[in-house]
Amino acid sequence: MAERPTFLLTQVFRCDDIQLTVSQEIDIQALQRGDVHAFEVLVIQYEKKVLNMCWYILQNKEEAEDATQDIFLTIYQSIPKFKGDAKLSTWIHRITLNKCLEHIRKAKRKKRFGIHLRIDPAFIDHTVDLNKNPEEALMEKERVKVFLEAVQQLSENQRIAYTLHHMDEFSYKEISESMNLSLSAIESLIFRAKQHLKATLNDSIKNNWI
Amino acid sequence: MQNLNEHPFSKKRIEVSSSLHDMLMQAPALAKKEKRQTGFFAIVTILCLTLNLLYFSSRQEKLAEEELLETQYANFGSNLSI
Repeated sequence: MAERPTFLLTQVFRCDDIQLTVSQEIDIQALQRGDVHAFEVLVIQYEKKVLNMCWYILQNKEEAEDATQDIFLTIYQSIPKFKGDAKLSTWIHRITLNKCLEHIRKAKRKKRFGIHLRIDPAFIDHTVDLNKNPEEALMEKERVKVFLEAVQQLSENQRIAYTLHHMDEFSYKEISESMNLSLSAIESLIFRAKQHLKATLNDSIKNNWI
Repeated sequence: MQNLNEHPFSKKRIEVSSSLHDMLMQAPALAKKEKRQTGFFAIVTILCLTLNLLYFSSRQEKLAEEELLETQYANFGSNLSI
């Protein structure tokens, strides 16, 4: 009998001071049969990572939440086609990136018709340390805004590779698998993104962040 | 001196709101609803196409008949006597 492909999920529950760790398996075959419970386990494991990927790539909370809903709907509809050639996480990351690109293209089309999509102020607030004194916080907000605008000027692939690289959760290998590109292509994309940002940004930003 | 060293992309992550979590959990129901809607629209489209084709073919037949009636053969045999 063929072995059932499964993935381990570790969920951490906090109950007063006791920390419980419960392991649950993602049963791919159950998912492919349309099992709702298996899907719920998958949602619990991946929702935060997918939302944050969308949030950092799209830089807009509403768009990121819309994209996340779209992604999980696509995952549920397409899981019967998942052959297990790649890891489940890689497959989910690929869907996430494709959906984010779709949203970016839609936003660009809207921009062409005169509706400008700004960087979400909540995204800037989120990345700025608000414990600093108001003047410093305001200055940092300005710097982050300039930096994010420069990142938005990058090509789609450069932007995604650079963003995932700086999200700390992705190795070069994971980025290359998710983007379906070679390792050297990813290195080159990140290098060119940094060169572009260095040419665009002022010294105080590029010396610290690039 | 202000510390700028922490990259804006490597800062804390956002949490999934309970409303978004609920919506994500509803994806299977949403997928089924979408499938039903797609099926319904496919059937309606096929029906419309079939009706159009039937109407078109009956009209063509009628036109061909009318065309024939307007030709010199329309009264063929009417003035023949035994």
